[in-house]
Amino acid sequence: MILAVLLLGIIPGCGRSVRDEPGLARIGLATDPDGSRYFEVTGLEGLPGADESSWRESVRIYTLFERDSSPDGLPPLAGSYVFTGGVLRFRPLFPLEPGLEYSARVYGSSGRFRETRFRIPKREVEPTTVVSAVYPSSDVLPENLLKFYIHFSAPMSIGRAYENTRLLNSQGQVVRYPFLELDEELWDPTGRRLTIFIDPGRIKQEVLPNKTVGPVFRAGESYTLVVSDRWKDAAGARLRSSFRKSFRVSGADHESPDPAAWKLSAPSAGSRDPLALTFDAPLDHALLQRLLWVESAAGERVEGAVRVEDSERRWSLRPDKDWSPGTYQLVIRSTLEDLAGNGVDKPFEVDLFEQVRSRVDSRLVRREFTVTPGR
Amino acid sequence: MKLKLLACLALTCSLSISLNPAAAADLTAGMKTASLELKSAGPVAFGPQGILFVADPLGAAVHAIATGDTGKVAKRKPVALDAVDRKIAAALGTAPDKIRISDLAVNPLSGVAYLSVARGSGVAAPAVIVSVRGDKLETLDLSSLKSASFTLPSVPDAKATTGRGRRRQSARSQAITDLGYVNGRVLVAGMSNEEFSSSLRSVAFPFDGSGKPASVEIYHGAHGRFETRSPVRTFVSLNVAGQPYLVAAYQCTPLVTIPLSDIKPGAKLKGKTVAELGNRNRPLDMIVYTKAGKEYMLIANSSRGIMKVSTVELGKHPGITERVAGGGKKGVPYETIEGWKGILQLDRADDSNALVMRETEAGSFNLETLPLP
Repeated sequence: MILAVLLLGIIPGCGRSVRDEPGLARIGLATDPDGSRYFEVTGLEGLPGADESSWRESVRIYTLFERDSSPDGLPPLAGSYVFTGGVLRFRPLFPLEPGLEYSARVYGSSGRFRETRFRIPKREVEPTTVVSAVYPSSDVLPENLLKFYIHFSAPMSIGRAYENTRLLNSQGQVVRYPFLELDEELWDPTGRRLTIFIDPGRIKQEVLPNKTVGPVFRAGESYTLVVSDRWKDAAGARLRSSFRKSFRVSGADHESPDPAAWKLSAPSAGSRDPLALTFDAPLDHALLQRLLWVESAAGERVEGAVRVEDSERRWSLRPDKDWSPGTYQLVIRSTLEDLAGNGVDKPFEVDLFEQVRSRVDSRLVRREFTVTPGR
Repeated sequence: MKLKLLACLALTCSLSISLNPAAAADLTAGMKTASLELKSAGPVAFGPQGILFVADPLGAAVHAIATGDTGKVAKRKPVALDAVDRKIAAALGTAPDKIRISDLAVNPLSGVAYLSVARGSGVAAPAVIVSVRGDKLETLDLSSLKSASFTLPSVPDAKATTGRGRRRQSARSQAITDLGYVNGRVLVAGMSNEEFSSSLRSVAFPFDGSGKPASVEIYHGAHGRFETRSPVRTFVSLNVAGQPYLVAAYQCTPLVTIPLSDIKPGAKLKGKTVAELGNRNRPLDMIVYTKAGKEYMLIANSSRGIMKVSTVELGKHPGITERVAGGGKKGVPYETIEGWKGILQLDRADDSNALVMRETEAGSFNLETLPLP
């Protein structure tokens, strides 16, 4: 229920509000069938003007951030005015906010006004959202780790990522400025997955931050990624609990993943057994969903369920239809990365002096396998 | 952000008078009044004729909005508005902690500031453009303005998606870190939320559907030895020895110069490193201006206040190509403007002033017009 409080003659700092001016105008809050609320002003006879700009002057709604506060210095609420059948309707540009109070004022020619206040009841929100997963999921990560993916069970609020995500060292001390803090936080389109890059200036060799402050991680040490339960979801509720992921750090990885070295176990024709790949080191969880697929000899994509398991060391595809005998292509986009951002096409950092490996120029890397009838 | 046309605007003006009448053509002629719906509003920048470019990362688009704010004002009122976050929240009917101001740009024709704002908490929060003329704040009614949009090419491979059949969708998104209008093209810098890639797209304006956008990858070559992909955080255009360049700040802090003529489809570019900004020093915005006949660049940083660099020095600098002993600095010389603290957003207000959004000790944001140093 909306609480409407008619305040007369008690508006501090705004001059005097009197009963007989501006006339008999009354403001109420009405609701459309779709649930949207609007202000309705009746008894407007005698008010000056008959167009939108004069209504804008005569009827103003103000947002009050605190209960019983004054809107002095704040602009009126944005919205549109329509006058029909002797009733002036003001529709706010956005729905009224639960927990806030609105001051609706009808001004007379002398600048005096009659005010009605409306409180929109606060909506209590229960904490239900949790961190559902963090990738990489391994508890041993390379010293030059490039990113974390934090998955949430529901859409999150945006703009508070870096104050709610901390990295602690083995003594429980906060590691200072480990992340690349972007104004545009890197959320997926649903707002449930956040990508946090480790500051590349502290990974890249020969870059000033790395030379002066050093890398974020040191091999042999242990760290904990902490996600605070003070972080609010998109509905305004805190996380149900904080989240911790502890891991040990191994040496830096400067090698590109090599698809030729992956262990591939081909399924039998006539079955729906998964095609399974085992990598020598974990690969990027998100990219494994997207940059790796299987095509038939005719070039058609084999549809099925992809699973990424064993700390992102194993990828499998269970087809929707039975495997037909024949040759297939495992197709890998060469930007597929490992945990340190080393792509199949080239390592995160190419040492131009040493040229450790020849570069893969093709943007798609293919590996053929054969499906034969089972015994 | 940021007046990106700068020297290029001056060039356009002179051409329109003397050489090329077509340059004065109405750039809004092909736009339509079609109730533009912003899915999000990130970086913003002005082009000529009062056209505001708005990056919409969630909509994977760049929108050009004819603000209609094209009249020169006889006496400009400097933009000055305390607690702009509270005032925007009040106008949008919500609490100050439920709005996010992404960026600001000043219309060079009128001096009016435009801010991109999200009203709400999550990715679904509606996006709004707010204008501030002097101390008067208004929300832009996009349904009554002409606009045109360019959809950024999405995931690089149509097959590169998750899920199956119709349910197939991608969790990949492309953050837009900066955009600007330079010499008839809109430049859009972005980075992915998955692979550590960099992209700089150059799209011809007006958006007439012709011509493919040029997309280039930016690399960072450290001391001629290590080469890495390098997303761009912010950029500005300027002329160095008569040639148009981008000055870009990488996410990993080096400041580089890139000749605009190199931005061709499919190119892989390495910027010339002319300075390193140091640790924890996020470059936020850059502007170029002229004072007493000399051209300067201002760089707003997250931790070091404002840095002032002579663009002549940028042009002269041979590039940092060798390791500097003791981890010292060997980039272009710069001056730190001590008085400018807490600057979150920066744009050029006019020839002699900058507009900044500054965070106060109380935690609210003020818009202030400051004389260029």
